[in-house]
Amino acid sequence: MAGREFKLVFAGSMGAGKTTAIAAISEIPPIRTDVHNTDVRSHSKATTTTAMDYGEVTLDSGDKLRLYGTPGQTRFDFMWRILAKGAIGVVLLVDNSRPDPLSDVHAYLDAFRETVSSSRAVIGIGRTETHPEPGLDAYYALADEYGISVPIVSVDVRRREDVLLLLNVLFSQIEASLETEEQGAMA
Amino acid sequence: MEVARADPSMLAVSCQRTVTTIGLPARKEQLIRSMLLAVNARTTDRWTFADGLEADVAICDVDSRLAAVAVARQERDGRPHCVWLAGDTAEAPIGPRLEDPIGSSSLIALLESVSTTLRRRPAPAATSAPVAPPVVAADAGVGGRTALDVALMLRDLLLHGSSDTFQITAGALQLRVVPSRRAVRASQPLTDDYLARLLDPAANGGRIERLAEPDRALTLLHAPSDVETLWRAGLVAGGDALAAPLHADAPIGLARWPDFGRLPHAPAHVQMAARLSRRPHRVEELVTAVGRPAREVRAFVNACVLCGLVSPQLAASREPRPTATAAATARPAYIGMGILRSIRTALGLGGL
Amino acid sequence: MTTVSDEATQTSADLCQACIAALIGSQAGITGALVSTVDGFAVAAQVRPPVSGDRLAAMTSSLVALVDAVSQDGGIGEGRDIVVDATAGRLLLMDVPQAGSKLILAVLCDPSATPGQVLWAARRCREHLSDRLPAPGVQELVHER
Repeated sequence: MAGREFKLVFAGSMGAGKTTAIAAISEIPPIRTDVHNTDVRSHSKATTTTAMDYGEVTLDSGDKLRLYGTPGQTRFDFMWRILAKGAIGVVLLVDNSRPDPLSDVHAYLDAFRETVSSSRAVIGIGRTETHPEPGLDAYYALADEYGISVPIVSVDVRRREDVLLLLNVLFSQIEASLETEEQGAMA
Repeated sequence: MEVARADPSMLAVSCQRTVTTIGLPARKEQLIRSMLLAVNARTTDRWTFADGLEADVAICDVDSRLAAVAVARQERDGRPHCVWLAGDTAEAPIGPRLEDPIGSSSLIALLESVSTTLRRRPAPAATSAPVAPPVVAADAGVGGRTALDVALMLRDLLLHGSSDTFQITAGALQLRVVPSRRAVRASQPLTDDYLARLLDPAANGGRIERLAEPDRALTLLHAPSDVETLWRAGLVAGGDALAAPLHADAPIGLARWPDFGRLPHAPAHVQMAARLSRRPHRVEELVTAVGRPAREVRAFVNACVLCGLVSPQLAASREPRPTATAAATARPAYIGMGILRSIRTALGLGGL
Repeated sequence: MTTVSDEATQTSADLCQACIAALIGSQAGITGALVSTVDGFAVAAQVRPPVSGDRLAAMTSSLVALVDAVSQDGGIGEGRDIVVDATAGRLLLMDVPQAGSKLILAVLCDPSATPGQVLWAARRCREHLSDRLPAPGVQELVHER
């Protein structure tokens, strides 16, 4: 059917696990747009994503569920907006071992505000076993300051079941909102 | 073993207490952090800075939206104690004030005042709606007490933050907690069967005892987190009734999601959390929505109560308000239940 | 005290700046030019407001990376030049090979520019940079600013 695109966006800072999460569920090895990282003082990784990662899952109708991973750095925030357009939802991944993960989340909550506010987002906090602070309370307090309600769960996206948990939480919210709309329409 | 009595003012040892800030600029928060280190030698209790609304004291900016959340939590649970940071001429809501700029003597006075209040207050810490009976003396008897009551007592002890060691004993089974450290130790792995037997008032006498000798080493073998312990206790303690102050006719909402990444859960729990965080539901509504028995729904709600996730005062729906720019990133109209089912199937997720 | 390497890195930035200034001056209709790293940092920029050199550097790196992915996937090798034909002008992107790395040269033109001449001038600029830039100096230059 023309004009229908089913996509999910995985966002978050460098090293938060976007490519790993996509690889955990994609039928194809993720297509990556990694280039040489020249800013090794800010990030020690040898490469950095400048456009997006791409993966896909085939649905029983033959349609594809497209999986997009965004570049992490804020200078590529125009890509976040491009990729978020028409997305079913956004998975925000946070690396709790970074120096200031709450500030990281600030940037993404700003960029994806509409998607998060309309209950189409989930936040996954990684590396909480080794870096328990900030705790989930701090992230909820941040969301409260934004006046938004968003589920936040501790995950390790190297485990496929954790990636599926994030998507289960995301879809459950969307299903709950669809139900509310149906009830509203019938009223 | 000494049996605890509901009189914290009898506690002679200093308690570990926490302070947080809400909505303050980073430099003011840093100032408070530094001042706490400096004034600790001059306060009765040991005060440290903590993030999050679980702290004993929250120093709030009068303009912060989050402060309203803290105040609601104080009304519900009795903590945090909300204090408004206000300059001479600033208007602050009714309640204790801390003058800005902050002086060490006024900070000490505030902390001492809160310490005194907390010591005078009988456990549980909540002063508004009665939540659960306090730790009970040995001669009070079991009568009428349920496993859920014991679980609520455990919750209240953890909230109280005492540095003593408390123990539930049910035959050969034991569970120890040191609330100030949020530490829990169990004599066996935290299975449903273990918890069911441990929480059974017929087995534990309906009481939680304070150990005369603090168990600093917490010598029991298994170390579940406090949150997981309370969560499992809620699921296991039975869904016969809702934990007070909830009742079947009142809508229940979730202020936060359970951390499903760390907590064992069933698929229906995710469905329930999605609905309760969107808008309050009565138990009956939730039963219909997720197609699970009422008992299971109540057990889930009780687990959320024990973990401090429920907001019975969440009267207003959290349904998103449309904004001018929403259309650009709106959910495509063709995304419906059918597509979501198809996606779930393709991912092996399953659904309702 | 200025060291030899300081002088060397300073020369690299100046070299890029001089090169794009010469490029802009050489052809009517070229309205801006930029040299940037593959991961989106501006090395030298001469653009007219409201265009931002930093922003353009990030966006062009995304474009180049995507085009490279498409080229490889399409079996036509690594991406090289990109021409964007827009309603009010053109954007030309070229890679500037360096030992072990590459930079991106971006050239913005208005409709009065002659595409063939712009292409020729841009290639000359690229060759000039490629021949004279020491590698890997420019990376350090960008992040010392």
